[in-house]
Amino acid sequence: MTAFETFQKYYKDRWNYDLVAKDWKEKGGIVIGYPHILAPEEIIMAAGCLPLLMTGDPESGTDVADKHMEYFFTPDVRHLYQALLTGRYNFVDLVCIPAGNDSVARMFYYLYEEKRMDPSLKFGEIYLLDYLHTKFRTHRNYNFGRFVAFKEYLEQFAGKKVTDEALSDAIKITNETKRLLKKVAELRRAEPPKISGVEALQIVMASMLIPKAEYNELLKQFLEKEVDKLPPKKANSIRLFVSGSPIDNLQFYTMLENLAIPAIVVGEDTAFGNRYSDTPVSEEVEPMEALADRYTYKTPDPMMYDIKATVNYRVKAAVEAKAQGEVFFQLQWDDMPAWDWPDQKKELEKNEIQSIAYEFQEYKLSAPGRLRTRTEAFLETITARK
Amino acid sequence: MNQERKATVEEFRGERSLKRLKCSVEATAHAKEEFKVVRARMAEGEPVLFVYIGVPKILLGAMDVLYWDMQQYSALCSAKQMSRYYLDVLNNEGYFRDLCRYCTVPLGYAFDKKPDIAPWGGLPKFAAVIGIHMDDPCMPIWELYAREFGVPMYWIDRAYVDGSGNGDKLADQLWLEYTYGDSYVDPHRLDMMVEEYEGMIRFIETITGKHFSETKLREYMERQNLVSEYQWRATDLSGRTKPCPISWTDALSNVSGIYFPGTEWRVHNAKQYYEEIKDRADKGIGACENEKVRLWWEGHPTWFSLGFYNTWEQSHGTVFLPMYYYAQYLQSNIQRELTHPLRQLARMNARASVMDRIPSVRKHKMLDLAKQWQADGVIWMLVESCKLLYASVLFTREELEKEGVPTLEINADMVDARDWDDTKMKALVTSFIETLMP
Repeated sequence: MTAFETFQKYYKDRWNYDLVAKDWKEKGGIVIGYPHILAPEEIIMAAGCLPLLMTGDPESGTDVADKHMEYFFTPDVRHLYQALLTGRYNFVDLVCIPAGNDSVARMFYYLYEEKRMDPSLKFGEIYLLDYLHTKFRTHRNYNFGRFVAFKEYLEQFAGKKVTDEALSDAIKITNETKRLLKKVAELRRAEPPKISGVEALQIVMASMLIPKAEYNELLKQFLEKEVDKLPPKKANSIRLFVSGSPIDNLQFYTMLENLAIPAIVVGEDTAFGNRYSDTPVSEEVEPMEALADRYTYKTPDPMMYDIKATVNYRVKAAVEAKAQGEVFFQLQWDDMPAWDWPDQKKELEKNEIQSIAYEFQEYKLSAPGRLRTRTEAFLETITARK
Repeated sequence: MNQERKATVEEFRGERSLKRLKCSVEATAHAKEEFKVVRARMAEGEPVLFVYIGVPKILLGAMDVLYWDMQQYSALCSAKQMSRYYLDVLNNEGYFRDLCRYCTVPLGYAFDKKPDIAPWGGLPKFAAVIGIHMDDPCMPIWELYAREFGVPMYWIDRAYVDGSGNGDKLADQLWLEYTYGDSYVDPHRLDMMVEEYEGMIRFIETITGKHFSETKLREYMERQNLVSEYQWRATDLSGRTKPCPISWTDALSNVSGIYFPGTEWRVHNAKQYYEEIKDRADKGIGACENEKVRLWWEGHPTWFSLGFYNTWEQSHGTVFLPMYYYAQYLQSNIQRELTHPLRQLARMNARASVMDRIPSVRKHKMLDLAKQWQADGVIWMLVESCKLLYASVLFTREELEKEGVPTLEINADMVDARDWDDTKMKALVTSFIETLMP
């Protein structure tokens, strides 16, 4: 199996215990799941545990989740809630929920209440890791305090002291992952791109599903030996940049890259795409301080202050990817990226990047045909302008 | 009314509510008067702040700082049938339709910049804005207020109850904070909130030239304790009395008091509110002549049609209980421990994150009160654009139904009348009431 096939397999079977956790657990390892890239994987790794991205399944429906979680929670969270309540993640020992946005954070209290009402529910322990919403000094220091509390909790949970050496080692490994993923991003920026959006999304997500050191070796193998073996990309494809809500499955990218007018996703600012690898952790300072800095000062999540900085980051990323058009994708009830959109659109126009917004989308794309038609019309306007 | 505004006002216009109490009429007049006072003092050169509902206004009052509450103006625009106009302004600016509305009606005004058509002559020119994290959209919305008004912003963040959710630890903590809110909050959250307030005080002092006195704050908080005490006693008495002496619409007129807490006038108004209710209760005077059904409307009212809640008083002997505003939290507003008033105020706000966000807390308290106040049914307005106050509804509904309290869910918005179908909503409520009739 090639490295890329391994990435594809992990993406496709990301709920499969035998694939993602069995070996680890049979050696006595602890699995810590997380739903958001704000989770400090380095602390989890330094505690000797396996960090694992948890997502919903667009095909699962939400019938169990809907009993208690209101429909105006974001649909990615409702689907993950469904997965947790139906035992799909029953092998995860601890669910670490960073307070990334309201829907994610409130899921913690909902899970707590579900377990209180029905102790037989098969999901692991839960932990809410709080974050504040700015880069102000006091908020960074608060985040630092919460990281220390999480580290101390993990030491008890895993029965292992988290040393500075272990943290430094974990930081080196995740920095290496980020460094390698930046190479993937560069290959997407090439003309024509060497890697498609669908391929890239699987590569990035696999980094959160495979033990990091093992993943790094696979990614090196991919970069050295496999990139040129990927299907060639059409030189005339229109270069699209994707922005907006977290995208943790292939539906949308698959639609964008399989249209009558060829298009390719050359970058994105979303959580499970290039944003994940944007900012390394400093290896020069005390590791817990470095982690608090990194997770506070990294490229802005939509929930972070301020609009101008966020929009500048997003537009700069689109320009660097040499995008001809931007597609803004908003999941239902995901307010945070949506408040930036009008400013973002204006800035894109200044940079001669045309844009289209798909607002209020379901987690399982409900009208892909309509999206295809709209996107093709959008691509035609880009083509006409060339 | 100019042509532009005329064109935007559609057919439906809300109904005015009944006001049975003298103090309710006075409260409405007083709110308008306070707005005039702000304008008059501003004309003399005093700076005015624009603030969010969760900002500790009692502290601003104690500093003698002029301020205007965003939510109050949002409700006012809605009552004056202008919310749809301002929400349309935002949609035309490119903001999606399904985003938060309660906090953004005045933002429509900020973009529109036409005081001549705005309720009460529009908003004054502010010196700064102060926002606070209540839920996700707050931060960008307040950034936009600051930008559109062209003034600096101070931002108060708010922490979640965090840590492990395993077993009894979280449960104990939540109940400690809920039950003993004036003496216990997780230390790191409390310290954080104190820091946020200290920063805010320096910001306000710099902007306004006014100064902060902890002694003065204590005076305001002592007075506000009296207000909360009267409000709680009035609400509890109304709930326990059959027939219910007043309806929700009477209580809502007095809600404006939350915008100016701790003043002597507020004590006067709250005392009068309690005494008028007690007088009616003693005399057996009810909001309905022949009370048959007592309903609890949980959540905000539809500010654009407060008369909606008087609809069934005559026809069905049905009264909406005067819950004030999230009545289940009223008692916890009383802060007995005032040795360090700023720290106590911070504690109160830090604790609010428990109230807002935790299903287990909300559902038990609400069930207790529904029983004590003999509510025959609970109607839930589910506001999908507001996760802050409308989460935990399903857990709570389930608990109420399980305990024999019937519920009805209505999807609507507190300020946005664009999707409101008055006939349909009244039919829904009528059907529900008819299932509850003795």
